[in-house]
Amino acid sequence: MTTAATPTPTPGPGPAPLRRDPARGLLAGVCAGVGERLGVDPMIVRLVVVALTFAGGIGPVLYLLAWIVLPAGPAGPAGAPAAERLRTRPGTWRVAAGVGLLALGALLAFRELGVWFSDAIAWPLVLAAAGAALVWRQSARQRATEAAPTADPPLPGQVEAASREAAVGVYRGGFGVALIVGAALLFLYANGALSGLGEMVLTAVVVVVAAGLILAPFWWGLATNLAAERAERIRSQERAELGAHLHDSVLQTLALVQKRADDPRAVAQLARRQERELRAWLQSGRPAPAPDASLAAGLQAAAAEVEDAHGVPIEVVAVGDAPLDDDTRAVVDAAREALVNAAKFAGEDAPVAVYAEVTDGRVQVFVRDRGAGFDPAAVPPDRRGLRESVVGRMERHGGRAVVHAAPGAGTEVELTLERTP
Amino acid sequence: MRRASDLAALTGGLVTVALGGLLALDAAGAIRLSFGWLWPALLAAVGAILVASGLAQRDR
Repeated sequence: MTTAATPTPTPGPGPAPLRRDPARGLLAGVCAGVGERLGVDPMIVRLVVVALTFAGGIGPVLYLLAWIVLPAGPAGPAGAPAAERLRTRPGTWRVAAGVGLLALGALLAFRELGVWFSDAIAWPLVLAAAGAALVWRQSARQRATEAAPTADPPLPGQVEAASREAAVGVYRGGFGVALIVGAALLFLYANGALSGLGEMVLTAVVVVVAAGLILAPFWWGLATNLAAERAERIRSQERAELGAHLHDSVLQTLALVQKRADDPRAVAQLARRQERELRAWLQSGRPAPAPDASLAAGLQAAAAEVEDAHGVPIEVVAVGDAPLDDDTRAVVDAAREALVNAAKFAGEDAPVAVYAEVTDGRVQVFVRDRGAGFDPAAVPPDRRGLRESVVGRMERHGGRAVVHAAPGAGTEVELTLERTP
Repeated sequence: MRRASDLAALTGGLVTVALGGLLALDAAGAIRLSFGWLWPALLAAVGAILVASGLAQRDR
């Protein structure tokens, strides 16, 4: 059996209600909860609260109000997975930049209103907080990456992505450090601490720049080596996973084939089962999903079951997918019955094909064979398989089944189920 | 998806109308829009559009 599935994005749950998240919070979980709701890193929300603290102290007031008003959400998993999920959600950086600009606009507005401490304190602290957030975030991400389990084999392109991520991390961390250093210099300058130290600061800056120019190639080489070492480690794990999978599947099947070489039917079944597993593994990088995972998985499992039982090759093509509920499960059951009929009556030499197409509003499954075909009107009334298990089952679940068949022209069973998007 | 796209477009339109209204009031002499107020308004406008478009992109 050959399979080809094109999954559509599974619609996720709706936006979570705004709640505090004490499990991931530093104090009461207000920033973590707001970050979760907006889909941005909680560190960005904390930065906004800190910034608003210097706008007349409104930040702590807002925080206390939110603490009182917002209910605490259930304790969820803490640490890197949630941060990684937030980081990889689409639009996160756009939302984060928008929140940052809104906060900056609010700060400038408070400054214009006169609700303000001092430029010499507020702006350096805002800059330092932004730099610290970047450095802290980068450090936390690096720890999370190093602590991440590596049991799954990396997908194609993951090695290159890891190298790119390492390079971006160097830039991001460097920018954070530069922000902190700039904030410190700005604070000293704004408070007059540098007035008598101008020459000394200039000398220090020149020395630092010169040292940076000298050491830059070594730092670059070190960063490149680290990235290359990580890429090599991932490749090595990938090879080990590949070897383990080949041993557990292909080599075991070959051993069974040698043992049962005198039974061509058993050998053919073993070969087909191995082909199914290999195709599923090649397509997704992981073993085939459980039959109840989705409509496409259910159809593939049904096809495999019929193929093993009747020895007829069945090709499954699924465009889109849908979760299994009572209605879609009925489609799978009806398709299985149609497959059994095709396998029984079309003959072992007539290939059977299943084509499933899932859109927002409709599920359609076609079961085709190129066998002898039949006249649907000539089916005796006591043969209830097609009438009850296919047509009746679909109608009971609000769908319909149409049989296109004629003697000598093969058979096609069309199953249609309208769905509410 | 349609609603998500509309959110970004609606926010952009509302923000542009609000900015235009402020500038029109300033030109008519009804308010005095100084440089110190214009920057926060522009930053908030761009920030609102970015947040709306980011949320819209996420909902697609």
